Amino acid sequence: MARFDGFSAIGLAGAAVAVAPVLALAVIAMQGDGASFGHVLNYVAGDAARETIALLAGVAACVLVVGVVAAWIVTAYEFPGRRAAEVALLLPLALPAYVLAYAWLDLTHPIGPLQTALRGALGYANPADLRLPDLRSLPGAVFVFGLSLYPYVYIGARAAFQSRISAQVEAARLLGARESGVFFRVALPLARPAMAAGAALALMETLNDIGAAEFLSVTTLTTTVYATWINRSDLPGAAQIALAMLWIVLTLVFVERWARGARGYAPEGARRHNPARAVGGPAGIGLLALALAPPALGFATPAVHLARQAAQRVAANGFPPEIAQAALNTMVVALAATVICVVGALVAVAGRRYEPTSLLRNGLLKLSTLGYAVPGTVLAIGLLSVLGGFDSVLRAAFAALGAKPPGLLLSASVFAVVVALTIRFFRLAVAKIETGFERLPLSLDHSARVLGRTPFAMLREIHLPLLTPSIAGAALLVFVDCMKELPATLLLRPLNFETLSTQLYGEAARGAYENGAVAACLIVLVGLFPVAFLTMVGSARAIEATRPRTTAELDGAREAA
Amino acid sequence: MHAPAPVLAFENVRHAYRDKIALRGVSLDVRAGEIVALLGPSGCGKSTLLRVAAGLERQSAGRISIAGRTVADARAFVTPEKRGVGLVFQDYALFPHLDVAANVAFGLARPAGETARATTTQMLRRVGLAARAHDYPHMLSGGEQQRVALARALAPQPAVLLLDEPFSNLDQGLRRDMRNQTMALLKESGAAAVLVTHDPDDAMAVADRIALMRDGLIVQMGAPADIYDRPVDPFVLRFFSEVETLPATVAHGEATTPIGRFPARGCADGAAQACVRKTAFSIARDGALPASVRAVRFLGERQAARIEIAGLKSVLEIALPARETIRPGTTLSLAVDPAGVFVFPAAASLHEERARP
Repeated sequence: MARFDGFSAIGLAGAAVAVAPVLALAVIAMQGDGASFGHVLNYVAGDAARETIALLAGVAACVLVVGVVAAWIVTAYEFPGRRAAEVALLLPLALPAYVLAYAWLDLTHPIGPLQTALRGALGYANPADLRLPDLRSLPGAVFVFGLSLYPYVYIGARAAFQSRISAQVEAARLLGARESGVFFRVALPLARPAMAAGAALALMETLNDIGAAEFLSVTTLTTTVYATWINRSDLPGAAQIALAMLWIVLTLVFVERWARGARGYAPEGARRHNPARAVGGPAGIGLLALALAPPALGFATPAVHLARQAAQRVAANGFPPEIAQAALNTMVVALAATVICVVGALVAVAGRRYEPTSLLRNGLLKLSTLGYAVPGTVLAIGLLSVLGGFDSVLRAAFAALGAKPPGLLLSASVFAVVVALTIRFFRLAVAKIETGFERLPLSLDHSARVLGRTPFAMLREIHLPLLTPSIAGAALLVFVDCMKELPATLLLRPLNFETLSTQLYGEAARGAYENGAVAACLIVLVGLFPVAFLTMVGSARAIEATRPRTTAELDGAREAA
Repeated sequence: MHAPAPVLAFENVRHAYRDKIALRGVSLDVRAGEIVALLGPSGCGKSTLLRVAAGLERQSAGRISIAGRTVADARAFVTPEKRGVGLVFQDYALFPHLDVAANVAFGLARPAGETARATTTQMLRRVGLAARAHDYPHMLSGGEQQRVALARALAPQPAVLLLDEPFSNLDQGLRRDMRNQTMALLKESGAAAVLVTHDPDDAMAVADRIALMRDGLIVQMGAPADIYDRPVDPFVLRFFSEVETLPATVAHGEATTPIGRFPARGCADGAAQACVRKTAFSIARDGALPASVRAVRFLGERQAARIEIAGLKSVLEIALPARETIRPGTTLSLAVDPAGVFVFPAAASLHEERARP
């Protein structure tokens, strides 16, 4: 029944858009001459590569230790405040690493609140008399990234500890294993795939970041790509470094894929009641303090600081108009990308569902979701190459017609930003909508077809109304991620076009901390929505596991619609 | 009398999924107003045949025609929405976001006019759910959902109605009612109906003809009584009743078995197998077969007795009416009803083991 119709055509367009930047990178990188590549490798990218590897290693260790220990504390023990700690541990997800870095830099500045208070307590008058180690260093960056990204490991490890593992842990305890033995010999090995997958995602985020590294004066491959393009206008050089980054990403993707496959031996079964050990008194308070430490440092402290700074700023000068403009710009860009992502994902996923055996449609769907793994800077450089090509064609066309050739039409434009965001976050929408579709039995499709509906009519009359909650979820996730995105937006935006994230970046890079806090606060506020969503989905999934798939269950979808 | 032209015709239909052959050449005609049951164990290809007829799957070879028009062959393929067939699913597949009336009206012409509304009301009245028109599917019981599914499929007056295990989600008592109601509705509609089931009781109760399938082929086709009384092989026999298999020797059209001599038409001389229904035995004062009782189990209307017979090493299990008093250790005198004994060539037992439904 495989036919080439509208579904295939849209899928093909999506896949082409997603793959073009990566292909262009390879082409551009080959244009640079060998000598320049040697220069880039030896003098520019070499140090950056070493520093990047060191940063990745440090972040991996940090997120694994924090994430796993936190997950173990909230699943293996029952103590006062455990449930609150379980949710609080998710909060750093609302803070992008660059916002966290921004806040902590301000906090630990020699004349910032922390050091001033410390000097006051110790009786020093002069900032020069008491010097704390500078946050702008590799260890400082590991600290910030670790605090920001440990939830990726925490979520996976907690799910693993909660599900089948609890039975094994129970068995191990009955067999007389000691506490440490249970953790190291039973729980940890079983949670290994979840940990590896989480750590791989955290490292992809680290590699993607441009703001935190820049603020903390760490020279990573990402900041090098940016500098090579912005300061030296060397597109082939930037493309070469970007390609090198893709190799690291590829490794991480393989680790993540492998880990997901290996989860087979510790499947996320129906959640069981935990064999949690009740701990009260001072020991319980100790556990609570331990569990609350990461969100305190990774969310509460910086968020409170940002809120106070922002409040002071607004109280003194009113709401800064440039932030209002940036917020509006952010909305426009994020909304446009969200709409394209959700509509595209709906068509692509539906197209595959209607012809599940079509290799074309499966392949196209896979290709069009590739962008999620590609760091924003790499994507932007690739896209610049593609759109630059379009621009030269356009200029030539204008010249041939005798008109005045325009400047850069596409390569630095709102359009380019929207395309980049769409490519990068398309997979989020696809994953969410796929999950929604999986809950609808195929017999619904078959009934609709036999009762006279074309695939498109079925999508409109049956699937759209039933998928409304999934579509809303997908839109929320994509919108928030678009809003927080920094590297691609930074590289592709037109002159004088600021979003909340680039506004924050600009001020922090200039060392001016004026309206940044207001922008940061807005980002954090919007970023809290998906965390709330995640918390609700977590509990909803537990309920779902106990219910059969019946028409009655589907009715929830109808009522939400 | 001239037989009417078939409404639904399969001609030598073959189909293979990526890694499995599902249909190996099936030919079948269904006439208007006729109900044909496709019966067989899971994986025999009966559901595939239904999907192919609906156009949800395109067969690898062969031809399908509906009301004289070819809907699928090597060149042509009519998509499901243009075939004008009705389909009822095991899980009913009611649209959860539409109320009962909207579900029933779904297959009718759009925009919904007076006629569509009238048809919907009439269909709902016929299935006894007129009062539930504005309820949503989840508010209905299983039997009510089944009736809505049937009304929805029949509302556009399809020439062909396909039913995929329509009774298997219902409990026993309800099931009997639904079989009768469904049969009445189908007969009233005059559609050519094909019902897929793995339950011989469903098939016998509803169908005019049964096509028994195994491994992608129709093994035997005929009226229920026909297929029950004259099974072509042990597989068909075992599908409808519990049997015991005994060794037999055939000579001159007669089989000699440890429980007596029986006619064996069409069997070559030599070793054979005799399959006897467990219910073929009865207690008779002048019975020819002495049997010693080893154990007895009470089963309600019947009782199962494990017996030993001279000349047979294994123990036989037979079914006897519950009112007879039988005690282990005693000897019975049994009679065997020849209508319950079937003699087959020995080699025909090839598929026996996987033949159980």
